[in-house]
Amino acid sequence: MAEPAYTVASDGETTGEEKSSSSFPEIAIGVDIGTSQCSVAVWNGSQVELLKNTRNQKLMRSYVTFKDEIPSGGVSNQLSHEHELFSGAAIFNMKRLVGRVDTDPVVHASKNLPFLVQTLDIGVRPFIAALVNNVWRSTTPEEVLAIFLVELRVMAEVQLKRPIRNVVLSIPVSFSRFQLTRIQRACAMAGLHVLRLMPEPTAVALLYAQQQQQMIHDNMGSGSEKIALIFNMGAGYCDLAVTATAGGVAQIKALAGSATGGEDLLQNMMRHLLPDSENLFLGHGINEIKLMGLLRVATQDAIHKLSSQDNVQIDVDLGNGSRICKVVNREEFEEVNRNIFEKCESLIIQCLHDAKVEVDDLTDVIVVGGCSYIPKIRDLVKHVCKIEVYKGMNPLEAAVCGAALEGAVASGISDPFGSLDLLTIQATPLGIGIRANGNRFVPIIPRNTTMPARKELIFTTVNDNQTEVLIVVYEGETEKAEENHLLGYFKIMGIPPVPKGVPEINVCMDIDASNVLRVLAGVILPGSQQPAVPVMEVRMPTVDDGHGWCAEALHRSYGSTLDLVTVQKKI
Amino acid sequence: MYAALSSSSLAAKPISSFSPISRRGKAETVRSSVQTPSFKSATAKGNKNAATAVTLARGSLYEVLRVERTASLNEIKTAYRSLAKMYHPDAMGSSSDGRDFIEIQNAYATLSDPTARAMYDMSLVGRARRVWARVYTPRTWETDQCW
Repeated sequence: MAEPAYTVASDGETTGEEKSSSSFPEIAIGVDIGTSQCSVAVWNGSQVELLKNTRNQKLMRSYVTFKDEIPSGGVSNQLSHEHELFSGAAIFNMKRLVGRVDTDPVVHASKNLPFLVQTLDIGVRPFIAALVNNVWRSTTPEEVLAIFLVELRVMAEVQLKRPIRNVVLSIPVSFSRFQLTRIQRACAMAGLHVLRLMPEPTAVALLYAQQQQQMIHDNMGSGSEKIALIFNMGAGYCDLAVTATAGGVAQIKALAGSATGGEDLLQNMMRHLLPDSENLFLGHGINEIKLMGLLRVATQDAIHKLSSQDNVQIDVDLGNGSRICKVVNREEFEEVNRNIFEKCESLIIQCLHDAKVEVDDLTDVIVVGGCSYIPKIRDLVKHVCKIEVYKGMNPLEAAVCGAALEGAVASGISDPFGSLDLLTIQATPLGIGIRANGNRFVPIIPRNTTMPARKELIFTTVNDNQTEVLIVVYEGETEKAEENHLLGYFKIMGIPPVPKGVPEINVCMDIDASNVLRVLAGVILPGSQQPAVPVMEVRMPTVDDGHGWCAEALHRSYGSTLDLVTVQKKI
Repeated sequence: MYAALSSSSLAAKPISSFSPISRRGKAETVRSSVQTPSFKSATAKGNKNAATAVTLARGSLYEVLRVERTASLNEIKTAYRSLAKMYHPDAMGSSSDGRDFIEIQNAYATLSDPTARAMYDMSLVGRARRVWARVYTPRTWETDQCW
């Protein structure tokens, strides 16, 4: 599935003058490409600074319009009106779609966006297109992300007067390693090198660690360990972390995340206001798109107002003879979205539980992201954690500031005042394992394992004289193998024909310092000290775009003939 | 054995466990005789990190974290953080493959968990006794023959 390469060479790249001046290490910039907004920050030598576009904005809308020959994104483009976003020519919410196959519920929930998201429901990538002069012009999430990454890069290059290569990007906790490769692909298309991909709440955790260090420096804080829960909810994702901080070290104890965000609140409200809206939009004609856009703007506006007032008057003429005229109060909004708020609450409880932290142990609870302005969100976090919300951070800038700090630290920059004497000890957001014991997912590196990590488990064959075994690698939390993210698969061949249960098949997973996952598998027979066949070493993920049907096809072709079971270790 | 409880601890693994990963000499010097087949992975970058690895004391997990056997939980946490700042790959730059940090992490994982630490302490005592038993047990008629 080829996609058009989209790269723009940096103007500064060709001038020798700038190259010679970069004798000191290049400081990586921090980038937050949010579902709805994006921003860039950089360490300026003494502190983190957010960069502004030509219209003096620090936070820019994450979208690309295809109305002219050259697509333009929200960094450079100026919308004449909010409705321009909903003409069919603008593509947005790509962070929700990147790296997902068309059987994914998140993709299905995106089908009522005011552009084309088409699915065949067979596990291939969805077809995404913008309406340009009555033509559906196809694009990909990677291309859209790359277009505004280029704009962000150019903006930073102009302001910092140097070429930008290295970036630290914040990413959702729930992203699979396959999705991470898609983000890296988008960066490569934009001519950027990814220095680090940081789960969003861990970037916030690093900023928190720096603030705590600063307080000790100012003789205002104590040097003792501080445990904080970070709750980060934006338009697309809800991400959490529990961090233990002391001495500038942010140790991530647990992560939790879900593709639940402001977009879901918005869709629930749209459904509430116009119950048949989804069916109405299925046709994706010009009029339907316009109608979708009108409803979206009105609902979004109402939700924003409900953060500061108890009720809001919605009055929108949908242009097809129907008109929505309604007063919505805050209770109604909270009731309509009850499932979302319950999900948020369960994520907090899960994250605290995974971190083995009691509510009483929490020093601070940090609520950031666009949804942090919603009173119900703040209330439920306070209700579960039983403490007031931390006040020292800008909710919309915390993640990008943390990414910029990591950018400076990872670029090897040191600060005379010790402001960059920081370290994040990351943990794995999802378990990684293989399919074994029938159709079970057996994690080898469990969720929340400190990285870098290396773990191994021993398996054996299920059939007599089984000379081959299939190693199918998944990432996730669900017990049924196929409900997790498929990362790749390979076969070990040439196992000597022996009864089942005899060969010892050791599967080792290794995540190195740069978060590269390798899977190693070796076979040993009893009485031998040497491996029976050469060891397989595979860098994951190996799957490609339309991978949703791969596991099913493997299962159909091989059944259980190449299966594995775990070996209970004799102690 | 403690390995049963703290499966997260690599350092605490029984030495008979098979590993497809090269431990690259440094561990073999300690876990000598029963060293299992270890075949080199393509990721192994040779021995250039051996020098840094040597600085990490082998032996007990307490030695890895450079704390006393009687260290408090706070002392263990502080030691872990300061070692992390030195040995974490992010702090060391590209010269590190993370093996040293994994070892520090594993020691910390066991010693920061009171239950796992208690089990580990018992196993240390047990290990000492076994060594004692092998070398010095007086062979009497009763113990050799009557059982």
